[in-house]
Amino acid sequence: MASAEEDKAPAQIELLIQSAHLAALGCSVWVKGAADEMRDAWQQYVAQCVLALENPPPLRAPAHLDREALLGGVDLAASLREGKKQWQVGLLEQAKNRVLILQMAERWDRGLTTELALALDEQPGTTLLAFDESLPETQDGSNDTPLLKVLADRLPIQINLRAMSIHTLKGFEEICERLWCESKDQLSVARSAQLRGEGHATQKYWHLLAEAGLMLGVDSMRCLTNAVGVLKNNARLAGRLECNQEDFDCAVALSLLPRATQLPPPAEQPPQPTDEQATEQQSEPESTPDQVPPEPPLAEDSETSEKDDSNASEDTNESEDTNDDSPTQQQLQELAELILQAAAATLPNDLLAQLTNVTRIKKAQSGQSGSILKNAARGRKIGAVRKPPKAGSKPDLLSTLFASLPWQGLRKKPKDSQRIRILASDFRYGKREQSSESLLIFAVDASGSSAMNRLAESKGAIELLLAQSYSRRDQVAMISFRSNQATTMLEPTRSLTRAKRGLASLPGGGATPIAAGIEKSLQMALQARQNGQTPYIIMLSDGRANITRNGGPGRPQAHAEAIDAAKKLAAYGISALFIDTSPQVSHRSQTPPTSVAREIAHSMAAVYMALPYADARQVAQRVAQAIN
Amino acid sequence: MQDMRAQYPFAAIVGQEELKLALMLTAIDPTIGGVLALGDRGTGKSTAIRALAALLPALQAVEGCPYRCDPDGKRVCSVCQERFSGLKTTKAGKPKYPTVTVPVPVVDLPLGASEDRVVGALDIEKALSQGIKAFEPGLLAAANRGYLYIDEVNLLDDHLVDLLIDVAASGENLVERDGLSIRHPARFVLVGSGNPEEGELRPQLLDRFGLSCEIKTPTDISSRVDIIKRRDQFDQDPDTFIKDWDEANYVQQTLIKNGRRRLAKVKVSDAMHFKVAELCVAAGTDGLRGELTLLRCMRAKAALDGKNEANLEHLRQITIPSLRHRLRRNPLDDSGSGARVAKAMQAVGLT
Repeated sequence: MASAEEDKAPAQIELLIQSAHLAALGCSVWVKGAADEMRDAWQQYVAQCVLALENPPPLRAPAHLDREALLGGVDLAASLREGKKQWQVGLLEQAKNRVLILQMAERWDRGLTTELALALDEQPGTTLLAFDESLPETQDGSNDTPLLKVLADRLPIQINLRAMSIHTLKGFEEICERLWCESKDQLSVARSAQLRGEGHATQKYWHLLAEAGLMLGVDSMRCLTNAVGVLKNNARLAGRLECNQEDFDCAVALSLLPRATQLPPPAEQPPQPTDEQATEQQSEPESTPDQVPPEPPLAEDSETSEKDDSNASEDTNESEDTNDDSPTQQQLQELAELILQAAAATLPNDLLAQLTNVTRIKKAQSGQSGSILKNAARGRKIGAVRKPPKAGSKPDLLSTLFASLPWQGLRKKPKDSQRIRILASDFRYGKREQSSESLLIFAVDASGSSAMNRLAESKGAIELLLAQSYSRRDQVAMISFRSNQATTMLEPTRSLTRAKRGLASLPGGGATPIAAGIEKSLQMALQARQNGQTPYIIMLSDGRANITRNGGPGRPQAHAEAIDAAKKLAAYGISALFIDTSPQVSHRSQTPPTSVAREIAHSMAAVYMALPYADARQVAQRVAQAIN
Repeated sequence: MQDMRAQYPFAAIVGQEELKLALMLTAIDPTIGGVLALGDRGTGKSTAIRALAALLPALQAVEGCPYRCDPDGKRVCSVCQERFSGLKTTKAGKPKYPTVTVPVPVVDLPLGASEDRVVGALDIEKALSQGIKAFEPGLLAAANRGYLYIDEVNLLDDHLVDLLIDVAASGENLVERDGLSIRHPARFVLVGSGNPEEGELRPQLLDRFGLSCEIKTPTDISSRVDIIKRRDQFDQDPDTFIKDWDEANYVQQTLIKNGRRRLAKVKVSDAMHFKVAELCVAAGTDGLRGELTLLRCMRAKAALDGKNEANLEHLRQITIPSLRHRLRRNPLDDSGSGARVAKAMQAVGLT
């Protein structure tokens, strides 16, 4: 494994250097990875390249920028001082024909990100380096909010620095330094070619890009058209006027592969083994992803394979004598192989593993950052206060003016009768309210014990609630717990189609791990709270825990664990509703059947509700009451 | 705006026939209402709307009017009324306003926009320097007689949605805030786009859109190649590209111009009225809005095709985008609403 990692390094480093060169030539980059040495090194190298082209150094946008600072607007402080409207120049305006670095781009507010993305359309001279520190989706399904798609879609190149090893870092720095003179020349040649408008993609590469996009499941056409720019700049960097295979490979690796939602299907019929090595390479990527990826193309390797390709394409051209530039069937097959190879060579192992599972990637949703109720930045105005609601709040002009008006007669000096005099004590701050978005987390007991017969009812209730939340614009998530674990059946969503699908596929049966169910719900609730949403947990269970956290049977211990977990949930102060789904008239137990469930509900400070074979409608009503 | 960038020609947009038709119909008859474009990202929705606005003939507007009042319109805004109160009137009793030619505006409404920016607010400068309570127009004013474009309309804040619904229905922006009391014209074609997988649109807002289009990323290789090719050519040399498409663009422009002129003449027979009603009953749409939209679209389509009478073919072509978003929605029904409309069309013998 380790050796495979090391072998991969040269190809990775080459791509990193190439991406930095392309960034200096004006291709925006989406940089994934933590704020570590690798990112610093890459960023410094970009700055070095930019300076070598005699362009102004990159500008930085801090993580929490307000709208005026980014896009320009009225400078309130200066306006008040001057008594006249003063404009401030936005950062974006300053970044014309420059490189702009966005720190923590994934944390940016949705509205501002959208505005920035649209502004970029109008101002193509700006090169954006968007640093995205979001964590990749982990096995347990908790996912960080990634960079918003509206912006990500407009960044032609994506590089992932998260998977880089220390070897890569060392190699990167070493090669950058060693080849600097050469790179500098390349860059300046490329820039002048760019200014002259040289560098062309032929029909063949338009075709191949279109095919590659389909194979990799890249839906957005914007990504493909952006890839053409990457392709051409690649050719310019190599000092060529026409693009060739090498440029195409690079464009695929930097622009399309990182956005792939699927890998090309492996060739159906085994092609004639012209080259043994080729068949080997082709068959390997489709094997299990945990295995070591196929041999990476070392420098010589890729050269030879490239020669093979060019030979092959020449052959076909001669034999079939096709006059147009559209690729032949064989070329397409080669393309698929090439992509598979490139994927294996450039992508980190875990990404490859993810790629083989399309559904996992597809479900990664664009971040829905909700709003916080207490100090809402926008929303309905509900009055003005003397104290700023939070640091950095802006005074509300109108209330400030009103507050100062009664004093004007006293404050006025004869020489400036026109001006209004405003003192510090006049400042008023607007208070705004915005209803926070709620997230309803359904924790459904899908165990065999007694929930089985109520599972249908629970489903019915959830369906009704979905319909309600649709008009309330709430989000819904669903967790089910059975046998020995809790799983997220449905990530927080507002999409009814997806919710419906998740609900329909809810399986039942097995033991009752209540502690796991509570903990999973708590985890999701806390994440929602972090995003500014208000979470509600709605638990549907009979409360009869019968399996411990580590999978062993034993009612008393399982129950104790459940109580513990419930207390934890109460400690976080998350509103909950417990719906007891046990049969009210028990056939087999002497103790009153509701007591265990009631105990758990009490521990989690939840509203308790027994469900004597209620109809779904009643449950839905009850939940709506509890929330409002 | 600062828009000095070359505009991608409308005629050069590959595919997206439904969206292009919808945009052209609203250009002929703005009273159809807005256009909703739901679907995949990066499929040229915003390119299409901007390209259309660039294609449309420029507007005649009263000089210096913040709302671009139509000098030939029935009424002008209060600002113009005040400014030109002493002006000589023509024979028809209308003042002769000084006019300027302005391009059709396309205004972006960003998701995070504050209410102040959308509606307009107290003019700070005037309030501070002169102590005057004056109104500073917002985005709604800027979009008057043009297009208001909302990307990701399905994620819009609720308070903005309420506001837009109100203005879109009345064609007038009524400002009652900050101690101001102002009304000004705000007639615009609302164009919204979004991806329904990321959130649903509120039914109230859905209904305000005249037409709704489903945008799919093209899967056939030749149109994908065409998109890449044309974009590349455009980026390489915009001027030549635009010149190459000038003729095709001109054809489209003429279609719209002639369509506008013809619109008032287009007749709809009683039999067609009956068909429209029948269709709405079969599809089970709520309210009259569906029928009105069908009628208007049918008329606009006939005008676009240069016909003086709307026929079944016109109706057939505009039914799905007109009704798709108006079906009474069972939120848990998976089947596409387009298919349900098609079923209704079959039921009344329209296919």
